[in-house]
Amino acid sequence: MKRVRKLIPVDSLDLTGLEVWLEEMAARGLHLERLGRSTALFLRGEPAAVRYRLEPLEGVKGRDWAEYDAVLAGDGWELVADEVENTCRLYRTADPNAPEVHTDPVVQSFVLERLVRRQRRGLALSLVLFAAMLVLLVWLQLRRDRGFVLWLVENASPILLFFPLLMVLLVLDLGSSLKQLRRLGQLKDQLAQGFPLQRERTYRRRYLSHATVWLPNLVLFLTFVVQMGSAFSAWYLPLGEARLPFPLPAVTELTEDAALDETPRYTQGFLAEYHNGVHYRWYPLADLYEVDQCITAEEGAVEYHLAARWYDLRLPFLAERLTKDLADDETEHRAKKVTVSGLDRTWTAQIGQYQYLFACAGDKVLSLTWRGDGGAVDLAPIALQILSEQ
Amino acid sequence: MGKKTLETLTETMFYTLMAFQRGEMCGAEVSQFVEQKTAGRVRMGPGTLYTILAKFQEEKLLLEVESGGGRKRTYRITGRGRTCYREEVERLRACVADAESEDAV
Repeated sequence: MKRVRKLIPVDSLDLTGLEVWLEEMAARGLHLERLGRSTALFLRGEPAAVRYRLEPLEGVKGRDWAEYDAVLAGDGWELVADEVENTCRLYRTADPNAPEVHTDPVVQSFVLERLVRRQRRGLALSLVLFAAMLVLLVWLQLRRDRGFVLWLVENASPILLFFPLLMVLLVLDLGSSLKQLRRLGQLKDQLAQGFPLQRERTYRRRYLSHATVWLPNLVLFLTFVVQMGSAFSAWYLPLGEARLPFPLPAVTELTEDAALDETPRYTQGFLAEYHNGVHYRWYPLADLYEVDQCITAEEGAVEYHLAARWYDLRLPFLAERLTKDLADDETEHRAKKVTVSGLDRTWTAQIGQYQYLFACAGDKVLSLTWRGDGGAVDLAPIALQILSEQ
Repeated sequence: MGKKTLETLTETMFYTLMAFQRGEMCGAEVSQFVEQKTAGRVRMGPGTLYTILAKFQEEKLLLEVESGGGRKRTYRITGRGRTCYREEVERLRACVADAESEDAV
């Protein structure tokens, strides 16, 4: 027999809506086989007048479901699903003479009372969690020690890129749950006043609910893909083997130390990866090349060290702010702004034996660090050469 | 919002309490009693019947006396249940008396 899967177009707490939809499907020859969270699986057969009824699981305490199912079966009602959305049991009958499951609306309101209370507790908990998440994020943002743009580019970009969308979806989901719960509460009150259920042949479409269930998952999946993409696209190559997209002078060109033996400071062990090599990382907002040159002279007694971080930003307007963040981060706010013709913004600092320069031009950002036991060098022409050739 | 206790009894709730004046009963016997007593006028769906039984237990109007071992659950009325039933009978008597006195005018 042919099976058909359909998206459930009814809100999860629209109990009569779901019953009506399933009855419509049966009238079209689609008989429910399995009900999932978002989809329902039907067996295609002959069109039939079938009644479906949902019974909340937490109706009243102490119900013996085995006995209840047996009594309903005796009256012609078949149990179709024992847990719909974790809230209800679903029964159906094709017997037009089978008695209604509920014949007293006031008594039926007792069944909904507990369900409404549980849903209210669940929603309150969701709101508290949502608020806690917001507070946590604000707190994390406040105690962050890196500049925002630097943090955005290098640390949190995949999550942050999708975060606003995720928050909007969560707000929509909470709003939709609140609305559904209000309707369920109204239904319970109507029953408690003795008005029986009106099974209108219409139901509210719940595509928004579907979106709020699936889109956050999609967003998290995309975040994961981006994160993985970033991790897998990273590479490291020794200095001589890597092709850089910018011209970087060799340390030997920057010093006239006669004793320079051009011996890499570290060639073995894990430190070799951080010296005399190129690290490339892809981030959603930038490509980053980190180049490190470290050589010694006089049998290692004198050290020359040039480190460069070169960012190719996808959003050029972030360049100036990223440069400032890099300067603040690496020099602990000690860098001073200077003017260098040909560069958009430049900050420099001299701290101990280290010289720093941070500059940007267009969508490129550069950070240079020099330590030369043999003397200082002028980093500005190097930055100008690197950034002006883009 | 706290749990709401029973304020007035509906017809099905009233007849359920009435059934237990005869002694211990299981759900099916209550249903049969109500149908016979009202000559089919009041029919209790299984959802209604079992919700009433559970609710009355929760409100301590009924007490479960036997269950398990494949046998159906059996209940008996409590002192509180009898009081609730008598009060409802008095209220209905007063209603009928009011109606009759109005008819006589």
